[in-house]
Amino acid sequence: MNHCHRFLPAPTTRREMLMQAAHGFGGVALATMLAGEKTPAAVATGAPGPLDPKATHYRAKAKRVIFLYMDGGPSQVDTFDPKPALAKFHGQDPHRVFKVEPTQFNNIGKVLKSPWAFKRYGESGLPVSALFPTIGEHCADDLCVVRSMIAPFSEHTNANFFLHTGTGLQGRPAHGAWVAYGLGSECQDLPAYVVLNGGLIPSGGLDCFGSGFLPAAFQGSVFQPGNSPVANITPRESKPELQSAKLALIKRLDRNLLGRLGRVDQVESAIANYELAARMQMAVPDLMDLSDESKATQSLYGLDDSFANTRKYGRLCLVARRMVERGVRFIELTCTGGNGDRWDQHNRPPGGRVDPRSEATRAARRDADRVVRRVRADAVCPGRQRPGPQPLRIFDLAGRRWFTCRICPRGDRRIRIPCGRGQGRGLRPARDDAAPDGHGPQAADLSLLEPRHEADRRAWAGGARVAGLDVAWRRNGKSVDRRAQARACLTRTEGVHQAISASMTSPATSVRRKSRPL
Amino acid sequence: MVHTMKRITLLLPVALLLGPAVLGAADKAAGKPSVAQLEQFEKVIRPLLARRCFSCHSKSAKKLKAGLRLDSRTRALAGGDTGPALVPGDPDKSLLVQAIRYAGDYKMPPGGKLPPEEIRTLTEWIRAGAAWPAGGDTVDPSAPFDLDARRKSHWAWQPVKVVEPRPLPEGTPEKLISWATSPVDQYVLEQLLARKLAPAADAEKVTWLRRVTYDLTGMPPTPAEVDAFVGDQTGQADQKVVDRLLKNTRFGEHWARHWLDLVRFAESRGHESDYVTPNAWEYRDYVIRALNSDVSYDLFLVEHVAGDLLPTPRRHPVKGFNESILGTGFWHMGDWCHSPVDVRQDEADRRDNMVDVFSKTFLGLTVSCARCHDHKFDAISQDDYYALSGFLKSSGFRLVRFETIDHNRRVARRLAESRRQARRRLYAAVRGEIAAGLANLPAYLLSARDVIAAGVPDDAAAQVAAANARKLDVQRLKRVIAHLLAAEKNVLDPLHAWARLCRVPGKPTAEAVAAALDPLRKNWAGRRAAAESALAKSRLLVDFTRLEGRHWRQDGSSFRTGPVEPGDFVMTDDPARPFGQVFTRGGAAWDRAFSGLAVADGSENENGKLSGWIRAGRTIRTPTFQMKTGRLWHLVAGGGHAFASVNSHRLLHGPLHGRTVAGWDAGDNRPRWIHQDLSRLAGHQAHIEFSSKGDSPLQLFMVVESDRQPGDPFAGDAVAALTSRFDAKQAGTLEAAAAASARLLKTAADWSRNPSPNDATSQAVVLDWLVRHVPLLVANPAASEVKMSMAAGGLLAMEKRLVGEVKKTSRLAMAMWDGSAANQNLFIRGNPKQRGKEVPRRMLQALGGQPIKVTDPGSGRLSLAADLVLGGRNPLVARVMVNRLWHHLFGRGLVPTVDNFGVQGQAPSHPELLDWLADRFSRERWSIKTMIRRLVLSRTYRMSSRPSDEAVAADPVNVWLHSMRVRRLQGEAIRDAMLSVSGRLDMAYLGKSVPVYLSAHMIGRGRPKSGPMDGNGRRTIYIGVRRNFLSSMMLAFDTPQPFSTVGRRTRSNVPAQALILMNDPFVVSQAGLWAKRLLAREKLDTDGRIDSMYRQAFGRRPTDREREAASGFLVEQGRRYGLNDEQGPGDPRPWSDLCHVMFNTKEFIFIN
Repeated sequence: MNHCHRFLPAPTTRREMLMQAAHGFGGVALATMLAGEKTPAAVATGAPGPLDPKATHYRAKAKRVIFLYMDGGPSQVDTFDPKPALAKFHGQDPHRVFKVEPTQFNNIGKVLKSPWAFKRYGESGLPVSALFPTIGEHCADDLCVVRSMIAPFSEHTNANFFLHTGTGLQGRPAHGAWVAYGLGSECQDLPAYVVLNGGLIPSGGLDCFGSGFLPAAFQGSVFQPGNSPVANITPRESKPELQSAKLALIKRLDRNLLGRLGRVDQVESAIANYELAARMQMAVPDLMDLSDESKATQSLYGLDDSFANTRKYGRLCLVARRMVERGVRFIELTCTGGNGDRWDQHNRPPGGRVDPRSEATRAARRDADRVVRRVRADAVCPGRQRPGPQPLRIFDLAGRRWFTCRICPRGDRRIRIPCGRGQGRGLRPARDDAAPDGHGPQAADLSLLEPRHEADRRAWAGGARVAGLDVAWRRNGKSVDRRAQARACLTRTEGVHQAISASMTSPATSVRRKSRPL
Repeated sequence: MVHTMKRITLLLPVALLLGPAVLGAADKAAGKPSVAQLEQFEKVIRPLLARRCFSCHSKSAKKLKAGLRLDSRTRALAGGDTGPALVPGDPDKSLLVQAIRYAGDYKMPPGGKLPPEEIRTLTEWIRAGAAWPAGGDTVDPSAPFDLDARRKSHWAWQPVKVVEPRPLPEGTPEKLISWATSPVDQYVLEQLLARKLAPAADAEKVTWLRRVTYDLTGMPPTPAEVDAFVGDQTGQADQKVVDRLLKNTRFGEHWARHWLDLVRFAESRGHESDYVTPNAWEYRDYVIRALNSDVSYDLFLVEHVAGDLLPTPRRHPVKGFNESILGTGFWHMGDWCHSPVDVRQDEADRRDNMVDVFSKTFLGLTVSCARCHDHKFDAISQDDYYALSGFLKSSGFRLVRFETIDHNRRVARRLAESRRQARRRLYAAVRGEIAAGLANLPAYLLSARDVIAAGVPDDAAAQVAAANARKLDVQRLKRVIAHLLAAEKNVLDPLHAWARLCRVPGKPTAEAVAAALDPLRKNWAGRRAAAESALAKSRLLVDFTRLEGRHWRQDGSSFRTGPVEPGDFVMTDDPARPFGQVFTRGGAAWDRAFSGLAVADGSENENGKLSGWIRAGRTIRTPTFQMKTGRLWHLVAGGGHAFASVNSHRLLHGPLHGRTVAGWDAGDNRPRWIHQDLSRLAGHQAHIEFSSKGDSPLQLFMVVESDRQPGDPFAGDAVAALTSRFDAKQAGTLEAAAAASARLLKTAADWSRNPSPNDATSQAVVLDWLVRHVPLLVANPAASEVKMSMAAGGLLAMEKRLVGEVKKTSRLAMAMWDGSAANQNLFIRGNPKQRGKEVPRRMLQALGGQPIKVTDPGSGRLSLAADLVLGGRNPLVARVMVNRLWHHLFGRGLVPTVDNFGVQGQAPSHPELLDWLADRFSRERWSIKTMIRRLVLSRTYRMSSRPSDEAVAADPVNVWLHSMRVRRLQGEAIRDAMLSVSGRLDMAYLGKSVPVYLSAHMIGRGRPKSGPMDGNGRRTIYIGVRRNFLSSMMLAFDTPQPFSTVGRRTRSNVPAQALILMNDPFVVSQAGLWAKRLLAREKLDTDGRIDSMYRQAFGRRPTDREREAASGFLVEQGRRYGLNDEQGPGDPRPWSDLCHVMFNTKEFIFIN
């Protein structure tokens, strides 16, 4: 099944696929595989639900992902990737120094050096700018910073689709949807893929969290701040018993129907669905109610901060932690909206509009320090930015545009050294870093969630294409072919890699890869 | 170096050994490589290539990169995806050298630049002819793409072959033999029996009715319909029901939704700000109407592909508008980016989506897999992809005035004919009037000269004397004198030369005449020279004055039926002086007859930077050209707008592509150059769309590319006619000069009778003068005017009548606008920046596609459409469509992968049945309704959904159709059913979409205003489809996201569905309305109401237990509301809750 990366699989449920394959043999195998972990839904119907947890081939190093989506992307050269060479060109016409790609607004000004000094922290000597002093002090050695990612889009929406789905076009399944599809969920009371909306939905809209051609079960559920975080989660009835009486009657009538129709899987699943929905009605308010957290915890997450957005974001982080504790597989946090509190730097450097220092520092500390330390160490927690600005001055101040860093707490103690370096001038990753293109983040997450890679891998020098069939890690300048390993995964994870290969690679990537073969 | 040395010692003997044999085989063009050269190759070059390149570019490469191999000379010369790697003898042209120098697009090897001496070595080797022994070539054809073999080996490409149903095997029980009532059943039964399976029993009547009503209309049967059906004992009940349902307009509404899934229908562009896709709903309504009127599917398909090009389009039976053209709207339903940074890539992506949707929808093929390489599995080459893509390259977007375009085009044609007549007759009238006057003009000119040369031009006595001397009319002479005095100052006046001679005193000699004319000739020559060099250093892109008919592409009729020609004129309203503007230059000219065009209420214009003026029906476009510098100049007269569509991008928001739009005012209506600077987009392909600004009399002459403003290339034409008559020979004496002046005018008058195109512009200049100076050529101008009035009156009335027939207001819809023929270049590895060879437009090769004729003036989509449906060459179109119908009626296609009939799809379970249906379909007028009727009246469709245990064990997926499937309703049907039982349903047919209701959870940029929660009670198909704000209820119930063809929806089961049915305010409110409606039926008691409820929702009566359960619930729930047992069944709240329960039972959302 060596699909080309543009192939869209026809929407087939796993069950359907397995039932069809070899006349149901696959169905038997699946049932055996999952025998130990039958969910209530599965028990009720005897049918595996789409969100049932699925076995991984290797013991995973991480089980869940918290994805902090930092809209706008603070520039790598201002954060974790010092570029002293920029000082040399400071104030010059960028066209003389770089190859400048057009941008949406194309109001490119002069080259701008970073206004922040860098310092090295921790054993690993991670360089961090003065913008994030706390990160350096608290958790430099707990981070893996990837500095060589690049996106072939210098425009908001495409870049967002690319970041979320691996393709710069609308309509593909989001990363979270893939993870949910591939691994299922350990929590049957909550969706497997949740987007905690701080208020700022990325450009591209809800399609950034869509399930594309995967079944609707895997699409991201957007949790809103407020009393009714999930659509239709709150019963309309004035008293709980009114609803339970309805549910009881529904159940009774449905049982009659089953008597008439015989055993029909999909009807039975639809009936079981009501039990799940009813449980969700209970689980969500319980999840969102933070009153059972101690004062100290609330304070640790900044819930008593004087800055409103910090309180808001801290709340999201705390809820994310609670979700992780409950087994939600993939959680994405969007930025807080309003007050221009976005990381986008069109015209001004950080500090120009609002001072993101407080927000940034806190967010980063929360991401790296508190969330991760407090949460069981099984979560990957990438703070991922939208492809960020190039180091060019726009108007008087600055804005930068181009590629991005990625911070994630190590899911593996051996990942420690920041890898990848932006090219001397900050526009592109240095050539010898073998940029793992935009799919790096997905590759990273998947590697921690699922297949085990090089045990002594010191760095993410991965020429990673998250095509399960085409993963080649570059290590010490040598190419190590992991195809066989990936193929083994394929057979055990029921096509997830194949599907991932279809979604996670884009024509744009292959185009880029042509001139920069891995 | 150690390694290198080893290699040399190893290889050297081999090279020497091979030497003589190899020499003969060496490429002759490269000359004979010497032994020394070959030795050097083996010593140095091959090891170098091996060390540096072979890991990616050799037979032993784990993964061959870019298709390039450098381990054989033949392979290296043939090159990879980007062409030959080496040009022996010319390193600068060799891609390999560019790559290792890091000078071009490729930088090789990727790990770092080679040391300079290695680069030098390789460069020198190529310069010396790239000597390479041929003996090392081991040809290794790595499994070439063999289209023909693939076509022959896969079922879907084979012609439709009808095998009539075979008689059932001996010993088949009579009961089974008689089970089959149609050929469909016979095919199904044969397969069942072959697997020792039996068909399920017939479903109950009411079950069948509910099934067929939902399947055909997406709505439940009403209790009255159930009663009528159950009570019908005529034996024709089924047929009657099916015929009734097929006639119902609900049929088209339901099946249109299936179709819209295929064409990724949406009413916004998605992407960042979700801009509106204008008038997309017109296409949706077109589909509904087409299905309801059972337009034959082949025509439906032709309309989609080329409805704009049909010579006799299908018209709306009542309103008469052009239906066919609306079909082409489907091409433009994709998502669009409003400010793409890379417009080339953006165009490639848009076109890719179009090819994808086209090929999946109509052919069940994944052609877009071949965008970057030959298809990995199917008989589809990369050439095929770009052959199809070329049709799109030659076609564009417009909002068409579909209600009026054909009518106005007919008016324009009649106007053109009427004007041709007017031109002929009015010039004839003028010629008749002035014939005598032209003959004796020299006498007048000589007499006028006498008076002027004597210095007494105003002296009446002198005038009379001069007139009498030659027996001339004194009044006319006076007019001639007055004109000459004025003409003296105008160097372009045809009598200017004579006016000058009038100032030469006495009786001048030939030398004096010549001397007087000399400065004039210089002046004229200067003008001509300037005109000739006007376009020097310019690159002519479009010349409207010579635009061939095949390139005359306008939307509407505002620029007449073709370019105006020199001598054409605009008539004034005054019949006595009918000549208004005479066109002295050809080109595209705005026709005032089509001024004041407007857009009907409710129709949307384009948005962004193209929203400021109406372009629909008022626009003309240039052919597509490739810009070099991007500094464009348009030679125009009058006010206008120019929109440069670069790489067909047209969703213009934001500043990046702002310069593609230009506008200018009329000024003095003289020709002038308008500059449009697109230098940022240099190298891109573009075409320009011009339209008039505020109905200004816009004229378009040419578009050039130039670094500075060009001159006026027509400036010389005005003097050409003059020069030709006043060269030194002809105007030797005064008499000769006077005769030359008259001949000048006579030539123009004669030209008007038989206008040759040669010196048209210069003759038209004189003709223009002539029609304005008739009084100089006649004795009695008033009498001439009377005669002119008589000639012009009828023509003028005709013009006015035709202008009055122009329809000014129309609705707009998206449609194709045919461009000029252009083939697409293949993109190497799908990269739009790497253009490969040009691929002629044609249908897929495996379907017999032949390159369309180059003489075809436009895109050639019409022949593409013909290739799809004509001549039985194409087995896929009919198979794919009947399979889709089967899929929707039986829940699973005979080919389950309905959009993919390729190798990666599934093979048909019943190939003979599929072919039999396909054959029937094409022979029965491609009638969708006939086919559906046949299928739903089959015994197979009548089966119960309750299979036997043996059947389930033997065929769990029900491939062999041992029973019907239980199916969940589509989200649309669930919502429509709620509206239907609650009484809220508004049965309005067609029309603009109701904006989608936006809950607090539907957020993001470009969020529109929310629509009403209940969608005004309209059926779901009429609810707006905004890409970034899709109805969350529909999404939860698997309405596909509109990005490509989805012929088979997922049927998922997620908690969100239960939560919606339990808690969504829409559902709750419909339950309330239903309860109210039931309570309003005062004649009914509680049991009667419960009965009615069941009949409405499920088409059946409740069982006793169900009735008890319901009435018990009313009482119990009443108590919970604090009501006593008598109040409960009369209070709306418990009833509302009961209705809500009904919505939530599975029976409501499943059909069996």
